[in-house]
Amino acid sequence: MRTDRELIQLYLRDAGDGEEAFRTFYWRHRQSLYVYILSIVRHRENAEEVLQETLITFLRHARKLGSTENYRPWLLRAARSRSIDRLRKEERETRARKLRAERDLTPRVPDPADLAGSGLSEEVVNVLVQLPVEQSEVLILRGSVELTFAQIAELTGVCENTAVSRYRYAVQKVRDTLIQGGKGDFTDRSHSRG
Amino acid sequence: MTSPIDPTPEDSRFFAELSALEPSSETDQRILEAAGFELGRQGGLERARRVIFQGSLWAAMVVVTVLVVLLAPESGPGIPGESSSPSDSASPRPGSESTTHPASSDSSSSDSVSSRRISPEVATRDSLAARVSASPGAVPTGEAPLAAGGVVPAAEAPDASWIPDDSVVLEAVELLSLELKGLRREASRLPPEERDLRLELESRIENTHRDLMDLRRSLRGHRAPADHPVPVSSTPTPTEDSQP
Repeated sequence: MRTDRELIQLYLRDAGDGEEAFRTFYWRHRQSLYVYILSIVRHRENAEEVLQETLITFLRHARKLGSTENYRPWLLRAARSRSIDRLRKEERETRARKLRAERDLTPRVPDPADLAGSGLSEEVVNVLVQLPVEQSEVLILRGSVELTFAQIAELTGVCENTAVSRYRYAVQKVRDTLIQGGKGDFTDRSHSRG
Repeated sequence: MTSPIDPTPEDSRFFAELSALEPSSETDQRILEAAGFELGRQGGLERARRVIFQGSLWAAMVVVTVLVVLLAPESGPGIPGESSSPSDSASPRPGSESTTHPASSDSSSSDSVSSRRISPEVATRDSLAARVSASPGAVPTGEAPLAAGGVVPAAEAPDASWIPDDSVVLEAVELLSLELKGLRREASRLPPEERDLRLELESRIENTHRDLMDLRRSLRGHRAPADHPVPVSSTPTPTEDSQP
């Protein structure tokens, strides 16, 4: 199996099988990136747009990234950055709409309907939308993307203990929700501050 | 005792559902198309950069060639090795009477020419002085030979075959012009009572002026100064017919 570096070098050389090499590379990373982005933006369409932006940015910078063997850390950092930007943009727009309509400064609560049609059960959707971004992010990075806590700490810019504690809280809420049938109590609504 | 972060069945179910999440096929298609487009775009950029670079190189070479051609020193007829320092051109040199062949502009005669570099002023003055001194009644003094005399007979004139090249003549013209200017200035400052000195100065001015005119004519016609009679004064010149 070719490494990320070999695939990207094939792509950049464009010796005829460049597009096929990129397709292999993309298929290797797309699912974990998508789920991670979704854990932050909590909106399917926004998550797909962010995924697209992340990959295009990667393509434009591929030549300058050097000959690293694994591009996943770069992809995750870029995905995180864009996801948080998109989240903040959504919040600003929501606040602006509410200011114009109702003069209500309540921050937007993620709507389970945003994840409708994703194939997730109602319980899982509820867990995702109700968890704070910091916790859902760590939950996905650990459970789906399968990073170590040290890698998660480096990516999110916190110390390893903080990453571990966030994961613990998130896992506890997931369990409580699923055990109770999707009716977990999520009182911590703090959104990511980047 | 298990750690709170150890996976449980609920966790496994949660993550199993999440692992089923995938972007839509439209998103996949858009991303793969963007990869193809980006490849073409970067290839085009590379080609454009290469073309611009090569074009710039060619343009730079053309500019440098044109500059070299325009700024190259003129390699026309001249005295090779001639120095441009003022001291060389102004200082008189012994034995400076010209005996070289006039067609000395090519480099094959450069050694003989450069070995006896003659300042143009001295060359002109010496040839004139030789003509004057050879004429009867000439006064053998420093400046006086130019003030006296008449036409130098052709037989006794310096080598008429020596024709200085244009650059030498130009330099002589310039020197004589300066001298003429200086003489006129000196004459204008003389008090009226210095009559003799004034007459001498006027004579020198006239002679210098004639020399200058001769040189200018030689520039135009490339005729040796010796071909022209050089009346240095207004007195009638003795000829064979008029001699007793």
